[in-house]
Amino acid sequence: MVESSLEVDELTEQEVEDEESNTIQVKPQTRVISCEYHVVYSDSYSVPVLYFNMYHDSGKLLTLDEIWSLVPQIYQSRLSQERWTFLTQQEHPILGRPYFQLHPCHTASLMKHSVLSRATKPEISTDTAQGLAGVSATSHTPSMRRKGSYLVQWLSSVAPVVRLGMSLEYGLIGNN
Amino acid sequence: MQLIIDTSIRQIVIKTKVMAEDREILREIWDGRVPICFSLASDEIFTLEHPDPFFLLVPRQSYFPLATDRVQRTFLKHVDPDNHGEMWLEYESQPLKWHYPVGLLFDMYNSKGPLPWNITVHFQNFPEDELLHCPSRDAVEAHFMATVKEADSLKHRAQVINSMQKKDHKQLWTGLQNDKFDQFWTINRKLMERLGEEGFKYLPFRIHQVLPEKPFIQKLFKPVSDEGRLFTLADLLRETVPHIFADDTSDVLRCEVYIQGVNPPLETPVQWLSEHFSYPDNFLHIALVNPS
Repeated sequence: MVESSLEVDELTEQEVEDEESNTIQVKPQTRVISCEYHVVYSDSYSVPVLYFNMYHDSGKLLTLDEIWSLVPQIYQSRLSQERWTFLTQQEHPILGRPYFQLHPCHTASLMKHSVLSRATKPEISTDTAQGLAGVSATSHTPSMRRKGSYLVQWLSSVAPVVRLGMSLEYGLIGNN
Repeated sequence: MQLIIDTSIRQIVIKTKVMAEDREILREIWDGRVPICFSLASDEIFTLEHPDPFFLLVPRQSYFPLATDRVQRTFLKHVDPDNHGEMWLEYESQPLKWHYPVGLLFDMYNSKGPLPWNITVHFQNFPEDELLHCPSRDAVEAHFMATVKEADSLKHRAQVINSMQKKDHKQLWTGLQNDKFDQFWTINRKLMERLGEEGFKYLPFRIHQVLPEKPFIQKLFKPVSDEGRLFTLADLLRETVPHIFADDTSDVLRCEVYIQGVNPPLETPVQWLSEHFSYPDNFLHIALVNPS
């Protein structure tokens, strides 16, 4: 599980009256959104799945529309065509609470086209599923490092869609 | 063994049957209804005139957002117009998950309760940490189709669902929405085929425990052994929820097991249950209920 925060420009801007010149200046406000990310292995699709929530500083959960609007511009055209099969609210399979989810169907096809995944995709058993989420740069065995590569490849494909920043050090996993 | 269905709402007796008569079972399941009395939460009533409760016979196989348009329109006239949000339903302080089929919710929360099922309607204080939002019918369709796809991933590595055209997917949804058995099953029967095998690759099922409330249990489970033996409901339950058995040797249960409103015999093959007792989302939803 990863927690981070995201600064976004206010979706609506505050208007400030300038008395001297009788004009209205618009000041963009920055708000902080708290984010929480989980990676859960899906037995049904045999791929990792990203679940996440984002909260306003009031503690209120973002709406689906607000989440969709935060998806980076380069994914927006795909989102507009397939939004209901791409990113929606679901029941977290372990916690049972509402979380937003990137649909596994799409991530499975994302990985199929990756050269790295063809070379290194391991047989991911459900026992190691929990360990996958916690793979670190200091994994010891060769097979663990290969699993790390797959997960890093997958995460680097999906993380930008949901504004999850990834340190470049992740790219070092599996290359020792 | 023979299959006989007595169509009174609460008492359905099942013994197994084969072949042609199985289609009658599909029809009986599809036609199942639960009588519900919807009442607006008393502390949300804003108008002088209190609204009458709203009675509906709701299809077991449907989802609440598909059945409650008129309830919403009627009750919205009686709430504070400046202080209301998305409608949500509650039974005895339990928010009801709209993304679960109506029949499953009934089995979980009111299988032994009085009829009609008394549900409270709210428009304030939406429980965001428990309920998904339902912004439109598109959300219901998306959730339904995603569940169907997941079921086929388990049954057929998604080969059947992926080989269908978009209009076939749409037909599943419109058949469900409009309560059209034939329209739905023309497509759904393909999802229920075994493709030359003894059974599905994995069984699409979810076990829902009520007291205490827990996230549902879903695991990889093959309905047929490598030697071709059909696994039974007892086998599935021992594998996933062994604690509900009183001991290791007998089949005495500590709780009741409901599927589609009945307690199927534990020796029923799960492959058969999957083909006949699944909900339209293609999942076998099993409710574990404490004895009263």
